Amino acid sequence: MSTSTLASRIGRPLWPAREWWWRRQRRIAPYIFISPFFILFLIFGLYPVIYSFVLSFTKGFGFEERSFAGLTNYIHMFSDERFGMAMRNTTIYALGSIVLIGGVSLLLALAINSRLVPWKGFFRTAFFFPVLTSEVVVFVIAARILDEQYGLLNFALSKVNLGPVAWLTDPKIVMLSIVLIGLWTWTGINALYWMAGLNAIDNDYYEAAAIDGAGRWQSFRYITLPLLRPIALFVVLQAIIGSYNLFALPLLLTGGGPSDASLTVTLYIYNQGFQFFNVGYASAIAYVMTFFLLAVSAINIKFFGGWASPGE
Amino acid sequence: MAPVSRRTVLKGAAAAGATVAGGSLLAGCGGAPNFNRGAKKKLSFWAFTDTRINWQKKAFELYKKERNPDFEIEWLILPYTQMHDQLLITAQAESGGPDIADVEISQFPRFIKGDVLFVDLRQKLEEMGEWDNLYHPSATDPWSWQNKVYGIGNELNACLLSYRWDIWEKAGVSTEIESWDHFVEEAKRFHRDTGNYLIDQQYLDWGQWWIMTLQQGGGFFDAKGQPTLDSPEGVRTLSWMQDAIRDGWSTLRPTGVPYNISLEQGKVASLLGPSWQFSGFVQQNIPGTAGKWHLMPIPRWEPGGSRTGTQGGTGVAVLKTSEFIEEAMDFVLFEHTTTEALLYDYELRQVWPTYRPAFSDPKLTEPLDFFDGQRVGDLIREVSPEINTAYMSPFWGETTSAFVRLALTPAMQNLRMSPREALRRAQQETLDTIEFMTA
Amino acid sequence: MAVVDKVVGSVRDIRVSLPRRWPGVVALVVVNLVLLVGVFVEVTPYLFMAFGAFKNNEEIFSSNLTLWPHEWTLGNMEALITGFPLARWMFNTAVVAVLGTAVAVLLASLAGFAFAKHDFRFKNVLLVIMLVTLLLPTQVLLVPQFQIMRAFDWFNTYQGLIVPRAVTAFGIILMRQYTLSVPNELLDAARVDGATEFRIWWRIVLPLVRPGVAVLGILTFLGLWNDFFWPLIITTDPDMFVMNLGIASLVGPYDFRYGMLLSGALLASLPVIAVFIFFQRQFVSGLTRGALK
Repeated sequence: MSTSTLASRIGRPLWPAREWWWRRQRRIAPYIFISPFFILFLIFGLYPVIYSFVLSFTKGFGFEERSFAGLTNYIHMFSDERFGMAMRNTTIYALGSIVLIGGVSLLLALAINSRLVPWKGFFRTAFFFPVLTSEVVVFVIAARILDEQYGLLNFALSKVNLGPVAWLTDPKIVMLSIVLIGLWTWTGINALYWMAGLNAIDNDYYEAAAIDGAGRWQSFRYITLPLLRPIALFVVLQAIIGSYNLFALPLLLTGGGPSDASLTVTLYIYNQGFQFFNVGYASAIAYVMTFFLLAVSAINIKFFGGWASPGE
Repeated sequence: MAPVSRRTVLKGAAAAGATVAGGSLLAGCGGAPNFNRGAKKKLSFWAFTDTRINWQKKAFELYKKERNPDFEIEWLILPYTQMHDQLLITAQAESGGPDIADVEISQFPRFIKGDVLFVDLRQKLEEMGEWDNLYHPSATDPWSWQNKVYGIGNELNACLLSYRWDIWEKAGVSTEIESWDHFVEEAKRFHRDTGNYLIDQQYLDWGQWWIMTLQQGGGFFDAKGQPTLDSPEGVRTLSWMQDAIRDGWSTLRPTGVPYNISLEQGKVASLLGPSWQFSGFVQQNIPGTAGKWHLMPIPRWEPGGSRTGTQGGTGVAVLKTSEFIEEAMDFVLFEHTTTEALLYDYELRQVWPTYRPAFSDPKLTEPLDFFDGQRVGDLIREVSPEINTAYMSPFWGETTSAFVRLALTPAMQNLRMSPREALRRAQQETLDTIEFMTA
Repeated sequence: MAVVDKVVGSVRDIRVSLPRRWPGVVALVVVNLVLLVGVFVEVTPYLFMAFGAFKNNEEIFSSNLTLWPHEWTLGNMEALITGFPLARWMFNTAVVAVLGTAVAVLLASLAGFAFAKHDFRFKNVLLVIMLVTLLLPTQVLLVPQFQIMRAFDWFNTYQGLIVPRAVTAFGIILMRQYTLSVPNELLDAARVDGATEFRIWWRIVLPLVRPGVAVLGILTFLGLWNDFFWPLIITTDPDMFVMNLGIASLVGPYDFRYGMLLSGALLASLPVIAVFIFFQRQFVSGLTRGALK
């Protein structure tokens, strides 16, 4: 980052008194600028974070009368099959959403961006609709569409002699169903991210490549894809963080069942903390998950070659 | 309720302004909205369904007429899970909660971990001379813990078998079924003749297993509050349910709306449950079946066995954090020990009261149109003494959850799984969990 | 050489584009058809909600699923509007979403400016702390946050609904990225003219990071408008409910007012759709020009 001093740029001294004040306000300014945010952040962000970190080393019901428990909560996680199950399901969802949502939304962005499609604004808006449909409603509708006996999807499948599939009650299928709902919900906004990336690529690159005789596939492979890396990082990180925060949909749709087949980590935290009132253990799980996410994010940032941003 | 107050809006704007300006005014601009506008006290009552508020509102009108109290009640309905969650959190935070709350039976155990948030009602009930007038298995037992009574229920949730008599009659099914063995015979024939099912098997929730196990004197816990999932009674019920699917005469229960459709179309021709199920649920969701239902006692497991059970129900509790504990208790106990008030709920939902002096009221034995003119009250009065005692534990939630996850659902989805083994696994996990949490 | 290449290239282009014309038409039709099917899949549930608002409960629950109502009814809307303080809920939601967005964007931009263009102590430590808190699931934080609300006595107030959620680490990180691209020369020139840092932020930085403001603004607005959990925890007075909470209280295990739920959800979605359609262009160009570059 550049820390150019004024004197070196303009090459003449200022009035001493004024310079003194001016330098002073410039040095104090950043602290003043961050203070409104940080005072609030300390109260509503950091304090709760630290508080629950402390809780993760304690035992007892609720919040009063807690006793110190050392690492018991953390150790218990290793033998807790439900925690393992929750991590497994969440990881399936994360992988599914990276591959499916990431892939489909990229294809969608390429299609809408291509010269073949006339009404770009219409498609952009239309694919954004799921984000605008309230989660409670998504649940009501998904339950009707995915129902085994009377659902729309099985009705359609029966026309081609397939099914019926127990979308929400077969332990082997239920995560797939939730991934499909995720695909439906998040494709549109991810396509927007990709489109932003595509629009940002300078046309000169393509012209230069065409001059060098590159075909369409080649220019996609050697220009578009590499230049989309920062976006890919963004999309992938969003998908991972979103996956590990997946909560309301399985809660409403299946309650984590059948037999924990759609239990996610966040849902398990909620179960332990609020349903069973096992607050210490819930906090411990949250922290393990956070460190796991940190590690995954770091690996990703490494893999995609870091945040590239102008000015850095 | 509070009119649109410009002050609150301005306060909000002021807060936003303050944060932009530097956040220094933070603590100064808060301030609770003023609830006590009138001279009268206001008690707040939380519930999770209209239907239970309706009779209590009428009971409060009666209370006002008879006792002329110096307070009003503000009724608030929140979604079921969230209401109980929020009750827990607000009570922990010791403010922001209500004075009185409806507490559902399976949610109650969450509240007896650590300090109990509710007021003990027993002493006052005894002073009033009403203690012995209550039918304890439904009125107080479910909300009792260590000899204290933290809530009171008005619903005597005796379970019955509710069946589509029109369909049974058409298929020639006997309505004089005495035992489960007899029931299975009829069900097999019914399925062979019509392709439909006399009853379904509930495999994603514990209701059916619970009723049929309680019938035999089993359940989730013993008298000491220890989990007893793999008791012989429990294994017997689960094996019976598995056999029903294996032999093909029954089916897994559809979830959500499709279940209503199955009952409406007669694909499933009966259900087990208490009045909130056979009256409340059915009337609300499939009103088109009015007049097509009859009730009978639940078939016995063996001669002389119980013909009923109890399931669910909601009680009313007074919170320790309330400013008006005396007032709140006075109303709550009034509505649960006044025949006239309790009969409102019978009119609205056919809820049989838990207050013995009300049992003899002629209203309770009037014929009901929804059940084709059957005198439902007579039947409930006949079977209710047969309800076996149901024991509670603070680990109700953990236990029922382990039961459904590890025993009920997998055993019903995979018929090769041994019911005994499945129940043993659930029992083991429950014991481990309890040990981890209390160690 | 280059010129020759270009000519040869364009000649080849002409040559290959002739036989490609027919496949080109096919591609056009296929791509647009696939997209339209996609639109159908994406929009149908919304339409199901919109039309469902005008069906009676029996039809919503009936076994054959249809989009178009057999019998149009305004009963749900009427029951919703007369039975519940709907206007109040809408008003509350708007206040929370608009004020919350404004506060969030201003605070984030101000702090983002400091992070991007100034040096101060603990800068990197603070950035890392914020990144970590971004990853922690919000469910664990609910209770401590609730206790703070109690200490401030902010239950059932607008500041309680707005302030805690106006501070997200995401906003600062985003605004920092956008502010980095503001040329230092501009800032220095302003300094020469004697502008204070606050003035520089207000007159130079804020206008230049408008794309970032659009992105953060829309995302924050959507988040605040659709939020459910926070309002659930800190409001108990129905007059302080936001739309989402109000309509969720219509359906429970013992209450099935789906028609009213769908009506409420439809009404709640309209302002968001308007906002999105209105700001769509800024949103996309904001994404393009900003942090993702």
